Amino acid sequence: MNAEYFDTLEQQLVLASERLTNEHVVRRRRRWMGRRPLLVALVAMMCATTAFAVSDQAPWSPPELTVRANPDDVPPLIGAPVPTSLTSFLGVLRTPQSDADRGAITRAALKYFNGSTRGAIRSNGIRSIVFPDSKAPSLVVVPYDVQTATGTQTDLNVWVTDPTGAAGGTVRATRDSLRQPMVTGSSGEYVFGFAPDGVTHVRLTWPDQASVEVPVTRNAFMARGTTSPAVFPTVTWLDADGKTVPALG
Amino acid sequence: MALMRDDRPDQDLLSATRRGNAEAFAEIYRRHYRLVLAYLIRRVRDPELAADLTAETFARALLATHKGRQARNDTAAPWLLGIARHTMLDSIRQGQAEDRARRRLGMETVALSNEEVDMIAEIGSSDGLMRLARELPAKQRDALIARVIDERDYPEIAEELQCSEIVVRQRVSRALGILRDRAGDTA
Repeated sequence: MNAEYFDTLEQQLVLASERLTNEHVVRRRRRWMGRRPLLVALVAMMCATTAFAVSDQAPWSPPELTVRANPDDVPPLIGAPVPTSLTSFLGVLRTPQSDADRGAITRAALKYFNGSTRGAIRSNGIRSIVFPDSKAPSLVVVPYDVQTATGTQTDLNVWVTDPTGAAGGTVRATRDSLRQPMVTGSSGEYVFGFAPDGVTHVRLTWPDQASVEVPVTRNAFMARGTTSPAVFPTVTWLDADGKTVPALG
Repeated sequence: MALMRDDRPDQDLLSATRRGNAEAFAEIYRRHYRLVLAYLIRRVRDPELAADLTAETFARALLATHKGRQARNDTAAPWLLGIARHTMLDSIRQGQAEDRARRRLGMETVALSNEEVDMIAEIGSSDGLMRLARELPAKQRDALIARVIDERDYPEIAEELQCSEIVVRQRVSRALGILRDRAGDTA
């Protein structure tokens, strides 16, 4: 039977399953963070150390990245872990890549990455971030290497999609911009950005002084604005006690 | 739809779903949605309602899987048909198609095209399930019809067929597995 209704239903179930998996991960992490902050910090340090030590893993090579009609469209992939310049403050990049990270949302996004996208992709560091608001776009975070005047630097290429995975676009988040409280990009009415470990909420304040606080999910936030295209608000990082977290030095 | 077929048993796929492999549940869906749809259209006789209930059935199954509840047999067909039956009864009680699980999962309602309505109606009118059932070995067919079509309890069927309840369950399970494969081949 070849029916659009049932194909769409299958896609919806896949996305819903990924969302449920992410909800479980977030719930488990919150429970742990609430009860065992010291142990969590130690485990995170161990993960970072292990990731640093294992530098020669094979890169994840999904067909969406490697099978192209034109070989020039295949982006270079490297298996090296994401460097500590990012993992030191973004826990989402320290946790192991899960099946959900390699799921339908990610694979739909990776079709749009090609040889000219930017630098070599650290495919084992690719993560998908799905937000509790089911209507909100999702993010696919793709670490990649760029050559700068001072050498190789790893930044994030961020794909923002809609819940059906049918559309999206990329925006670059540099290592330095990720250390500042700011909006990274937008999709329709939504704006999104990143926050370092320890930031549980962000406060967004628009030019008309309208303000909203939204939770942070896997080091990222997504909020619905009032206009499309969205006007970018200023961002304030907040910890669990509601105290402002300053920009990283 | 994905073209690769996953040969793992349903139980393994449901376990993989719970561990975060969303594609595993897509395989469960591809294996069984025709059977669930055939089961429902034969009862509600309304293609749009049957499609709606099929969507809700799989949404409930997905939620149950992530909560750690899943089929106990190698094939998930009896489990899914049980969920389909409860979904249908809940909808009858409420006078409208149940959609709680889909709302919980943020799944939007999808409209059926006229062509799809006709196709589902055809499944219901052609007695596809019964036609396929007639091709089963006699013991499996009798057990399947008694359980799935006539919705009788296992102990009652076991008494009539003069075998144990476990044997009846095995026959139903095997019959559903065969039907699932044949429905896939003929779709």
